[in-house]
Order: sequence, then structure tokens, then C-alpha cells
Amino acid sequence: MNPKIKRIKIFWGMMIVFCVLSLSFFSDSRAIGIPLKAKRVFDGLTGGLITKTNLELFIDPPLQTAVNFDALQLANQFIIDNPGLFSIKSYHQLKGETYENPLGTRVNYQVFQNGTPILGFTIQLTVGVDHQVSIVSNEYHPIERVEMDERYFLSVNEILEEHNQRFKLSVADEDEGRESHIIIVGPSYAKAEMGTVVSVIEVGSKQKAPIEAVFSSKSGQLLARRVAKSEFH
Amino acid sequence: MRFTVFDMIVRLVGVLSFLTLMSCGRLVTECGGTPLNISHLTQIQRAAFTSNTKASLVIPNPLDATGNIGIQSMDSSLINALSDLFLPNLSAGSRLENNFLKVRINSINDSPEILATPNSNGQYAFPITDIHYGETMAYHSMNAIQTYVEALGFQTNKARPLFVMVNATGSTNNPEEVNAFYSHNYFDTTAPRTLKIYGDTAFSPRQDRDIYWHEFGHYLLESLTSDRGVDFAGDSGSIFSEGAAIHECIADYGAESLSGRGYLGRWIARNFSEFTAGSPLRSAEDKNDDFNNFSKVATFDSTKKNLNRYRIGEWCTRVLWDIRRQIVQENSNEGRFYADRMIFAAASLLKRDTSVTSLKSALLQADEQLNCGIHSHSVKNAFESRGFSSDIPALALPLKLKASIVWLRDERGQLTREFSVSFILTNPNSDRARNVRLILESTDARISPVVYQQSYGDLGSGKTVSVGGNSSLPIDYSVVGSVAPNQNYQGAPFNLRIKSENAPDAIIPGVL
Repeated sequence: MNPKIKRIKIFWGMMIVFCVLSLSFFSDSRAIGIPLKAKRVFDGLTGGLITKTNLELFIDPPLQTAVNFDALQLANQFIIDNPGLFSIKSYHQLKGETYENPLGTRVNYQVFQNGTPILGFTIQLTVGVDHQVSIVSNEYHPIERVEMDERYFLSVNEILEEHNQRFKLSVADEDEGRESHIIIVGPSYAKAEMGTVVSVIEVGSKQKAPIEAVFSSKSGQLLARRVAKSEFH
Repeated sequence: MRFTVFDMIVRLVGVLSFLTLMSCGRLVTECGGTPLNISHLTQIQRAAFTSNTKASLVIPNPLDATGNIGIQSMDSSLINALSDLFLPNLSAGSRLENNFLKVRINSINDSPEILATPNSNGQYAFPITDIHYGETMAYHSMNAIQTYVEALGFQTNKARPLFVMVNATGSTNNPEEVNAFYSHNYFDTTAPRTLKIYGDTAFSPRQDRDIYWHEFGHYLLESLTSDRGVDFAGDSGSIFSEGAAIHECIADYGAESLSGRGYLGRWIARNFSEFTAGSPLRSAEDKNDDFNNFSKVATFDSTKKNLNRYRIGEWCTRVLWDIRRQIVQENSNEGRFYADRMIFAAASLLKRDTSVTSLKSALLQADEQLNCGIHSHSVKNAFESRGFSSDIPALALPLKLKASIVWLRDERGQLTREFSVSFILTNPNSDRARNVRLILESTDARISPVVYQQSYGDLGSGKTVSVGGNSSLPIDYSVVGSVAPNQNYQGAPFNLRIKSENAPDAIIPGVL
């Protein structure tokens, strides 16, 4: 064989080996930090600019907020521009807060009706360095407006009486006198109502730890309860 | 010169490979994995902070600091194990607190006069058995792990303060009862987060950094996931769920990885008779026990031993430790930090009522976004090698349920307005059903699901779960619904749904 052709073949042979080795860089055993090909990851939300149809949508902080302006602004605009994805009812408000995360700046929204939080209704968006917005999670559901007229609400004592004194208020220092309200929604969204949150002890129970209980503010019905998890036994 | 077909192919492959090589020449940062400040992280990991305020502590606890498995907190030789440390980020030098973290003894409302204050040298230095030592350990530990997580790039939710009570009151009056509760106060959005430590023993948990780091992990996971309820069912009262197991897993992993020890709780385990002296409470490293293989921690049997979040939780830490070990092998100096970042990033992707399957997907997604997916094989292999396969056969038949309504009585024997269901649940398929759950769904406004979901793990072919009546499991292992006082609930409908990851849903309608 012509020595020149032989050299070319050896050269290309080496190139093939080198290239195979280079491709093996994609294998799992590479150290982090070595340059490699980037793969873009995006949820593929391409809604683009959609006409704002929900004019009463209220987002707090409003647009033009100075703190974390870019991420919050972009996330707010994303929600406004994509009513098909979120279907936010006009009587619901969103409050956004930004948090840094290596996967992109997170914007967490809590959902409220007239300032009362709706339990479990959260939306989390992420804003990448390229300003692309994608959904991390969306627990929002377009439920009916919840009755909030306090004239029809039971007091805590009235609620406890409804349960024949089965529960009594916790006397732990941090619980004393504490009472708050949330809107609580059933897992299947069949029911949403105002709940009164109190820390109670179940009378006669061996469990001495207070129960964080949610009762219907209107009927006293027990809607949710939570016992703090013990760590060891 | 003549070119053969072979030459042409060789040249074509060469050119393509060259182009591939060129396209490889992009930085990993383009995947989102920005470089970490390794020297800062290393300082945090070594507790090499600086500030105006000093403390004197045995780090991480007397047993691990001395290597003496028989040592007790009143042992005078412990004075030789004390280290001088700094307490950064204090709001004021005379209180162990800042805008977010607030250390107390008994309760949130402790009088300031009873709390620890520095000595005339500006130092928080107390005997190990002193309650103020526990306060100092609490501040140091919680601040250290908070700082570490932030240095990895995770900003946490500090909208509500976190109170740490190192000798909490309220649960029990028995000082021998050792425990720790983290409460996110999920329902009461006006309440602070609380961490309550119980137990005034010779091996008190307040003297152990591991306990604080583990409990911080619960706060971290809720914060990273925007309170969306990684263990929503558990928060609502279910006895077991994979979400609860993953909560424990992430909390344990964070403590184990930051300490670099692969286990936790050797000190606190001295309080429990089932642990021999020097054994850890839980271990991410392999041991000769059940926690190396998924089927041993997840398969339902009548002993109900696997309806325990710590069993899948400990198995899960071993999976994460395998992944961490692989990344550390690749990069011995920095890998631990990159592993933690990837695993915490994955945790931030978990959805409501998460599962082991979801954790695996989240790890792959986080690796893809941070590292261009270069650890995908390690992640898959870690799960597979520990018995968790995603390639499980799809079952043809839904699970079978035979149920009846049980009205619950309170501790005084009086009927309540809550009902449950006793039932027999059977897997009629020829293979196991994965992550079996019973869900109470309300289809009528009169019924509210209180404990809306219970989980029973993996159910083998032909196996049954039997709850209530004379069954192996008490009615506490079932779902609970409520009706309003003084309201007619007769005829109110509901559904019982049986879910499994590889079987069709079964929906059984019911009527009160």
C-alpha cells in the first residue's frame, strides 16, 4: 500500500478511536464540570401572548414590583397570558414570592379569597436564565366562591359544643387563644368552605399531643385534623 | 490517489465525530448547573464560620466526637472534646435568635430571663448537661445547615419564624420520653413553624446535632416544594404513605450527607433498648438488615411492619447514598456538594402525595437540568440494584374491595359524626400491585373526607389487606369521613377508589 494512503488511513483510524472515546464522555462516569453538550429542558409551554380575558385577576405584588422584578414580572405575565392553563376565577387572588433554586428562580403563589388562604392551592412556576417560564406544579382548581359572611360563623366554643365536648382547646402556651381561618377544599373538589383552625386535645385520648383541627366555620363539621408526627416512637 | 468506499466512510465518520466533538465543547453551566462556591461550602461543612460570638460545643455529639460508645453526657472527660465555634447570623449578641430562627427552652412564650446568655467573654459556654448547652447546640446546628442549603443555591421560605424548643412542654410530662416533633403548621397559616425536642435523659436529643439537622430537613422539603403537600395525606392523618417515607428520607439524607458519616443518631439511639450501644438510629450505608431491598420494606404483610414510613425512608437514603457515592467517586473534592444540590433540586420537584416512582423521575429530571443527564445511569441503577424497578408488569384487573361503613366512637364510647370503612382488599392479579392506596372521595357536600387516603404498600398476587372488625389491622388504618352535626346525612353518596401504580383504578360507590 502507498505509504501516504497508509498514513491517511492510520490518521482516520485514530480519529475514529478518538471520536468514539469522545462520545463515551456522555456516559455516566464523567466528573461534573467537564464541558459537554447541553440539552435544553423546557416544558414546552408555547402559549404565546393570549388576550387577557380575566380582567379582574389580581396578582400581589402587582406588576412593576421592584424586588425580584424580572422573575416575578415574567411569572405574573405568564399566568395572565395563559388563562387556559390556570383558569383563575375573578374572586381569587394570587400572592407571589420568589425563591432562588438551582433549577431556576421559583415563583410560588398562594391563592386567596378576600385575603383568606385556600389550603393546598399553590402554583409554583420556574423562570430560567433564558426567561422561559414553566410550571413546576399547579394545585389550583377553579372552585365556586366560598360564603364568607361572618354573621353565620360559629364561635370556637359553639363548635366544640357541637361535638359534645369531645374536644377541648389546647392550653399549650403557643396555642392559647390562637384561632385562624382558611378555606378548605375536599380532595375531589366537591366541597369548599370556610374552616376555623384551632389546636385541640381529644378528651380521654391517650394521645396527649394537641391536634391541629379544622372545623367548618358554619356547621362545626370536622373537616381535617392533623396530629404532629412523633419522630421515634 | 484513489479513494475506496471504506475511505469515504472513514472520512464521513471522522467529520461527523469532529463536529460532535466541537459541539461537546460547551460548559455544563449551559444545563443550568452553575459552578458552586466550593471553598465557602467546605468552610460551612467544617463549621469554620467567623463571627463576633463564640460557643463551646461537642460536635456532633459526645459519642461520635469521642468514639467512646459508653460515654455519657455527665462524663467529666468530655471537657476535652469541646470545640470553640462561632455563632454567626445572630440578630443580637445576647439572644440565640435572628429574624428567622429563634431558640427557646419550653415554649414560644418563654421569658427572656430564663434563656441562655453569653458569659463575660461573649461566649456561650455551658456544661453539656446544662439546658443552655442544648439551646446553643440548637442555634449552631440549625444555622449551619440553613447556611449550607443557601450556599448550594436554595433560598428557603422564611415568611414565618422557626422556633426551636429544646426541652418542650405540652406532649408529655415524662422526662424519660425522648422525641422530636417538627410542625409546619400547615393549616394555621398565622402560626410559626416549630421544632420541639423532648427528653431530659443521659443521652438527650438536644445534645445531638443530627437531630436538628434531620428536623431541619422536614422544614426544607416543605419549603422547597412551596407547601404543596409532599405528604398531604399524612398531614391529614393517614398512618402510612410513601410521601411520609420520602419526607424522612430527604431529612435523613441531608443530615447524613452534610456530616459525611452515612448514618445518624448514634447518640440518641442509646435511649432505646432495641439498639445496641454505638448503633446508629438509621443508616444510609449498607447494613445486614432489611433496608437494602425494596421488596423487604414495601411489601404488605399481616404484621403491618412495612406500614412504617421509616422503613422505606431508610431504604430510600441508601439509594440516595449510592448516587452520592458515584458522584463523589467522579470528583472526590467537590462531588458531595454537587450530589446534595442535585438531590435537593429533585426534592423541589416533588408533587403532592409523592411516591418513590416520582422521586426517581425527579432525580432524573434534576440531573438532566443541572448536569445534562450524565448521572441518569447511576440514578436508574441505584433504584434497580436495590429492588425498585420501573419496569413492572401492568395488571389487567382492578383490585377487589368489599367494604362496610363503621361509625366511629370517641374515647368515652359515644358515637361521633365521623365514619370509616372496614374492608377486605384483594389483589386478584398474578403479579404484585405497586403502592396500593384506598381513597375516600366525596361526591356530596354533606360528606368531608378527613383522612382521605391510606396506603398499604405493595400487595402480592392473591394477597389481601383486611381492616376493621376482627381483622389484622385496626380501623385506624382506614379512611375517615365526617358529616356535619345536626344535619341529615341519610343517603349521602361517596366513592371509595382503589389506586395502584400498575393496576386500573377500582371505584366502589357507597351511601351513608
